[in-house]
Amino acid sequence: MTTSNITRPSDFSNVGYLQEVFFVLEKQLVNIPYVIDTFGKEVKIDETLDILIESGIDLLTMYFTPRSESFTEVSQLTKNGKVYNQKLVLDIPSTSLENAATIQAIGNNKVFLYFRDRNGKFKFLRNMLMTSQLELSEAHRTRLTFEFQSKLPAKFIDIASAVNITNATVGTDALCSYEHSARKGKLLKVEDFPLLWINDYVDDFKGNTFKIEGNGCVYSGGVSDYAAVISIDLNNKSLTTNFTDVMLSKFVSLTELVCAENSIIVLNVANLTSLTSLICFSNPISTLNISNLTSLTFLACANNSISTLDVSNLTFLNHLSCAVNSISILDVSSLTSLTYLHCHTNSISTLDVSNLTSLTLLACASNSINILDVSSLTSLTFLNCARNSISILNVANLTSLTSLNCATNLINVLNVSNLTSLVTLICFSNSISTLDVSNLTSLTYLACHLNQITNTINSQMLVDLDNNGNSNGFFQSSITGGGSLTTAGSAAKTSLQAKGWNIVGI
Amino acid sequence: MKRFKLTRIEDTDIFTLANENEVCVGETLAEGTFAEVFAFAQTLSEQPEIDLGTGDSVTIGNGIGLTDVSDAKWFVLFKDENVDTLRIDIIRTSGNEIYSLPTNVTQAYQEPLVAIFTRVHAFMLTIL
Repeated sequence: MTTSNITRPSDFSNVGYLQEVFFVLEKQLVNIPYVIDTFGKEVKIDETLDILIESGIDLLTMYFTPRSESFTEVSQLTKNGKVYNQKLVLDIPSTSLENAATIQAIGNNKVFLYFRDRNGKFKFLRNMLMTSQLELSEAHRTRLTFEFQSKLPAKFIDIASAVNITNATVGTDALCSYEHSARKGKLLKVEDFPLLWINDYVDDFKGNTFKIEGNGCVYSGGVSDYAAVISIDLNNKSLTTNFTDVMLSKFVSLTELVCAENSIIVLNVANLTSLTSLICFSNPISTLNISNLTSLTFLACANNSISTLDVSNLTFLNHLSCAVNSISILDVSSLTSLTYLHCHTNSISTLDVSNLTSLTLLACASNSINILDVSSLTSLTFLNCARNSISILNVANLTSLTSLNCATNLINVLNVSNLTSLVTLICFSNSISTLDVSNLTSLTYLACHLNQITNTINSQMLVDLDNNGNSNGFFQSSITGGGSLTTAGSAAKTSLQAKGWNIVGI
Repeated sequence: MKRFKLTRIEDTDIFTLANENEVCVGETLAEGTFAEVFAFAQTLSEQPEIDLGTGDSVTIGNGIGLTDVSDAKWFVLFKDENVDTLRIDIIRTSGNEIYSLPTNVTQAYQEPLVAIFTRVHAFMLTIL
């Protein structure tokens, strides 16, 4: 809507002492959603403001009066009739954001409302019950809303936003009848006003209701406001399935959703196709259909009761954490962007990660995996595949590994001789007969007991660990076939103790 | 405020109380001020399955008695007493396996866990 300067009506000066309608803007703004951070900038309101009349208008003309007191016509309203329970919504777009912020920032402005009757005479708005709000929205606009009742056939309302708004008389009996408004001071259903709720409007959170302190009305958000929300955090809010369904149906543009640690059984996010990040761990979720959320890059759904998780098409997925569920099939074979895969404690029998060369972390312990081809995953720094049924584990080329845990499997051979970055090696409860740790100069944690390691090999490992020169380490092993440490092994053991090592089992 | 951490080597009762900047093996159980970390450590002793140990305190000198320990006992080993590089090992040997403990200690005691907590607390008051 365009603006144009017009001359101030000549009869305006005859209004005399205008009734000043004050607004507690500062108080209201403390609690508004999407408070912007431009407060404190003193920028004078000028004629550049572009004001939109959104709905509910029954007036002929609306003027905005800048500080200069030269009128700017901002809207020519065509609808005639009497004024009853009307709402005026002025949206000041981003181009005037600083100006809008100034209204509350300086805290000393006054807003005058008055109308012109059919004869063109100005009268101030009396006999009206009014409520108002000024919002600074995420959409970078300022919304000034008035609701009022009048039996007078108003034809004109002039909103003079000059200086010195210091106070407010918000109608305590305001009807809050206009669309997208909520009543302060009364319990509200969260599902009816989720936008208010999620933006920390919550003064009194009790189950699925909340209350906004104060009197009057507050704008609760329209379709466009919900669509403007791209990220919400509903962590640990006692949410249930039905509750989340109602809420999420409104936030159609979400890219990030956090709803962890709730009581959600079914999380219906199939329509949120813009999601890039979904964090819903620690719920009792049994059903999670994310197969069409192809924009997802981050999915954390661990510690639920999920039995089926179809991620096969989520080719942008970078982080997948689905540990501690009941998943039996996890097809990640085409997710070549994955860097983090945490799927331990499930019922997975087959895990094809052979092409996931970007993986840096793979944690798939406590499953039923019998084949795990990690031979080409040279970016891996952390691998935990313990408590599976793996018989062959080729880690020879994984020179970036710092932590390897393959305990409690069926491994006969473990070639770690080139893994010079290893700090932690846990491989107990296998059938390994030898380990070459001579080049593992960073190794300070070695647990290789319950294998087929003889006294000679154990002695050599002690010597190697001692030669590596590290302090305050831990070495646990056991001797297969009887016998005791060699002289060199015993000496190395004593030396390691003197370097602060704990040595267990030998 | 100095910050500390309590670590534990998995599947063992080998704990280390250390300055948070120290590199320790095992998993970190708690981090924070000494009071916070110590309070957490004490909760470990309240677990029903814990063997708190009995008997008098035994001072261990020159590392003697720290090699091939086959009994179930609690030990406290002061490995570094500087508050900025603090490292105190608190260890319970299992009685099922042979333990050979660090010998690079400034002080070492074999005593019940409650006595260890008392000793560590008193010591920390002298350096904080």
